[in-house]
Amino acid sequence: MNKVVFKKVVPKDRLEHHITKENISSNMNNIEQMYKDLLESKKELTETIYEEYKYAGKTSLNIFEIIDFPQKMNNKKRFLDHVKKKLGINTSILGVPLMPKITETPQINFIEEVANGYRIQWISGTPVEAVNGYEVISRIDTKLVTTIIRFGSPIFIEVRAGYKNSSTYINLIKFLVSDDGNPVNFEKIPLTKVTEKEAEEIATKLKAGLLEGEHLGSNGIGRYAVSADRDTPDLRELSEYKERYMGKQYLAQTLNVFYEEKDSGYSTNVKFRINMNGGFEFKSKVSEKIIKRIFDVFAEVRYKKQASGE
Amino acid sequence: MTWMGINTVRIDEVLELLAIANEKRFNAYQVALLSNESDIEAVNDYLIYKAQGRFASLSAKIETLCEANNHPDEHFDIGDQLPNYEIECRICGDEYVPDIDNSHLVFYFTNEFSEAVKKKQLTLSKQMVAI
Repeated sequence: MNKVVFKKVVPKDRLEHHITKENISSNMNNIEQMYKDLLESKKELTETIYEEYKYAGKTSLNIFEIIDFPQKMNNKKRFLDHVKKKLGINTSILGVPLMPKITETPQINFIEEVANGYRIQWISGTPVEAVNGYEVISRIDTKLVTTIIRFGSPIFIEVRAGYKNSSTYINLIKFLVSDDGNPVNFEKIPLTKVTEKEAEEIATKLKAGLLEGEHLGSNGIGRYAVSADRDTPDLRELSEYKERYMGKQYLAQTLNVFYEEKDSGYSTNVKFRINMNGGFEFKSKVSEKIIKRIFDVFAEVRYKKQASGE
Repeated sequence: MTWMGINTVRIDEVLELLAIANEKRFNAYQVALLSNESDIEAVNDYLIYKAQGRFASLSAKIETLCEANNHPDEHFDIGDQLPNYEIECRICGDEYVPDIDNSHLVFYFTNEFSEAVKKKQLTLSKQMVAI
């Protein structure tokens, strides 16, 4: 953990919350200073916070329901044994950075246990030549992508990458779970690609406000992008929006959800953008808990079940 | 009365109509269009003038735009210094340092003015009924 990676994933209001709660004096306008001050007086707390956001932050995310996943591998132990064999590792691999030689094809860097499954972090890199001061240097543009496999019925694979990119990682998992060199042919149904009706239900259940709607136009207009002003928590409450835009096909919606943790007292506004053609992105920095809270509702709407979250 | 080449009487009429329609967060561009004025800068100056002092009928805010998507975002009072640190766009989460050149002025009616205009409207309609 250092200030660069911390700042990248942890939102400012989370730092603010703890600094205020712990009565630490700091410059609340400077996130690096806030990080430094919190780390100095509450090292463990700072680390715990970082752990919650480490693989999350302002991330794109796609969750797929997997059909025809090899049943014998729908089990934590057997899956792990298989992966160890595949990677040729006999010792324990959980939580140990494997640090493979970085190639353009993503490789497994890290496997960690999560509820019902594993978090697998992939590393890949593209060599680039860049200007460094007065000279040109070669460096590796490194990319870390987190995927999570959750066993059960159904099986879910979550890819923390853009919608198009997520196929790359699903394909790598198809190779990973195969016994031979051929990829296993399983089907993926994106849970994060929702219909307008589902999006509406999700928004209702989360009490979400529509911050921005992007609509397909006609008669010479390509698209409309309508965003709420700061006095409008939900565009759908606005008569002008209802009359002029709501009937037009959505291309994307940006929603805002008020989120509050009962135990810590931390509250924040969680923003996310659903692209109606697939693709889901958080527009604010989020923790694992927040991701779970939001996606329990997605699953609830898709499968008409009660959410298990808070 | 024309003042700096704009018809302030007509602008005042437009403002009253906007107040009756409960218009919020308008700007000079919009007011200029409705009152057939072409000098938007002058209309803006006039609106700023109406947002000053004890008897102001308008309140003016500097509205910043985010860098990534031009989303109208945070509000600041005129005369306040804009933050020299990053703030987060409330729509897209873009982290940007507000810039006065990438901001504009928006106006709201003061409560007193809105109420006075509506009261006047009500009195007028009552008088019409009486006639």
